[in-house]
Amino acid sequence: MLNFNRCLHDTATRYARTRFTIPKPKPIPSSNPRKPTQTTHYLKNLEVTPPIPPSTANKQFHISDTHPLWQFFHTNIKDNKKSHDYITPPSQLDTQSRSWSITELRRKSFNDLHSLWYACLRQRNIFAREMHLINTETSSNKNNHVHSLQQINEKCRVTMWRIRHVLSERDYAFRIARSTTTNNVIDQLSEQVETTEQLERFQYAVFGISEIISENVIDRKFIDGLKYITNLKLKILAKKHDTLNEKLVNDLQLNYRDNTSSMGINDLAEAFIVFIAEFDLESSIEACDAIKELRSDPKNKISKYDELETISKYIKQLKESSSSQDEVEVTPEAI
Amino acid sequence: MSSKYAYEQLSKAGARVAERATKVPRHLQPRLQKIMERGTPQFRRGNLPHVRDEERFDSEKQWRFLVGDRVVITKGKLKGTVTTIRMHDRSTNGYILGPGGPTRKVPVPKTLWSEGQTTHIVEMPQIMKRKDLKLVADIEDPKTGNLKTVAVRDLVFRGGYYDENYKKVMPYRYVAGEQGLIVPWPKPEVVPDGELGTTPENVREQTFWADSYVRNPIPNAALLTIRNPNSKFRKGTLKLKDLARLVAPEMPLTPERKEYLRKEKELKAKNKNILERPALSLEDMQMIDNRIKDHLEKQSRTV
Repeated sequence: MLNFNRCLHDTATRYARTRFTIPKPKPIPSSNPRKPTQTTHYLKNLEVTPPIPPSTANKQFHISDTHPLWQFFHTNIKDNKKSHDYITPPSQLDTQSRSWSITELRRKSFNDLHSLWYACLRQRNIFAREMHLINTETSSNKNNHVHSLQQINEKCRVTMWRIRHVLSERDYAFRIARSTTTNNVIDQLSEQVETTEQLERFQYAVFGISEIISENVIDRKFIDGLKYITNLKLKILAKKHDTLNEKLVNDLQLNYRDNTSSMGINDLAEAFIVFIAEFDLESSIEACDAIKELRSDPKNKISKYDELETISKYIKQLKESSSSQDEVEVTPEAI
Repeated sequence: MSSKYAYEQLSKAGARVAERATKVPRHLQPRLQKIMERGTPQFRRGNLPHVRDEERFDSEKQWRFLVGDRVVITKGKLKGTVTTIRMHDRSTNGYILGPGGPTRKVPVPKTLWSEGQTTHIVEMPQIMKRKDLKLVADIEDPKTGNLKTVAVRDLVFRGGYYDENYKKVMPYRYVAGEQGLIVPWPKPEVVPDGELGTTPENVREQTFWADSYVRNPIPNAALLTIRNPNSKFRKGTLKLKDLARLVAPEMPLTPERKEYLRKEKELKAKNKNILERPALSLEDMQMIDNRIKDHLEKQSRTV
């Protein structure tokens, strides 16, 4: 396009020489110039050596084909032979592909988006280098080449802002969900739980309790979740099986079939026993027996203020046992 | 716009302003065109003038003939010649035709000779306008049942369908005035997928599920690179200072205006019964109903 060089109306007058603007004459060079204040021994030892001829055939410049920096150069595959181009030939530029759309990116996990971001970034790096080098050339096709590089570069840039948009959107959705989910919603969700898999998904969705022990963060929320899941487990099983219900009512004074009573397991040690038990009848009956045994000694009751410390101990023990692969039963009594 | 430095391509900050600076005002455009043409050698110049960006053809409906379509030339020395569309010239909204199309002779300097060239004079294809071309189609003769080749006077676009070849929704191309006579779009040349592209299977594969509302799907460390938490556009809550800026202070009333408002209020209170709008009762509605009924009956009798 046009290059409009705009000048101020007073440029001419400013540049005009007047009697006040006659430049001073240059100072006469000193006959006794000051010597450098610092000198090094390198100056004395300098020797002129014959120049090294620039050649890629030189052994010191040999680069292996698997060098990771080759990823920043265009790879050319011809007759099953891999070679690298210093600058991508215009005929091999991918001008047909398009950017990723937002709907496509919404289906991808954080790790996928993260990888895609860096793939785009690397590609843009290649384009930036190539554009810089092409601009120094004087070929007739220069502008077209740079233009197509710019177009592909723009497509990568669009993908990148879309990735950020999708992640930002996801974060907002998460925050809104967290602030609007009430206890009623949780209770409604819990009514749909029937199988072990559903229970696992429920505890992860509502309390963030993962099946992988090391992933969990031990805090107040974790303890509350643990107690909720324990009561939910017993409630579902008690409604299904009469034997368990009778055991719960007679031995532990817990009636899960009566919706009016809000009584449930509230002690951490008891809750933990049920929590680590399998989600079936036999394991629950065993857990009931263990709780009954635990209740026989009032010392086993854990105060609310010691809960965090105790659960940390339990989890640590659980981790150790799972890492050693020993089939050691971890119960509060054992700890 | 090609720039000298590579780093200018890395960010788009200020691109909108820079683009505005390069735009030539509309009244200067013809003059600029002239200057550009004077400076461009003949072999680099097209035979049609450039069109403005907003006037450029974009959709199939605007182009009417796509690459591969058979067309007949209706103007010039080669009037009546049937050939195919080889290329679209986006800068002039023109068409470059295949073999048999019009050409022009231009001198080319020796420095730009291509391989095997022996003379300064080169035949360059001439760009054709849309109005000088007509689509050629094969249709079935209703009398004989044989296929015959005709030139279509005009085209109409209606509806749309997903075209496998173009991989997008395309409109149906009807012959104007002929119900149900569709001229199909030409089959484009198959372009292999680019090396930067991703396969559809990989794109469609779902790897994200919203599985917890307690655990954020994005690591905390990444949030800062996604969004600026201190952005002035995302404060969330309005403070008193912001409110003061947004709400204009109330204009004080003059004593005259106050007096006027007081008087008006008094008058309203006084004439409350007079000014009140009478409500429409059921009896009134019945009366209106009867009157209209009578009137309509009378009218029907007179007719």
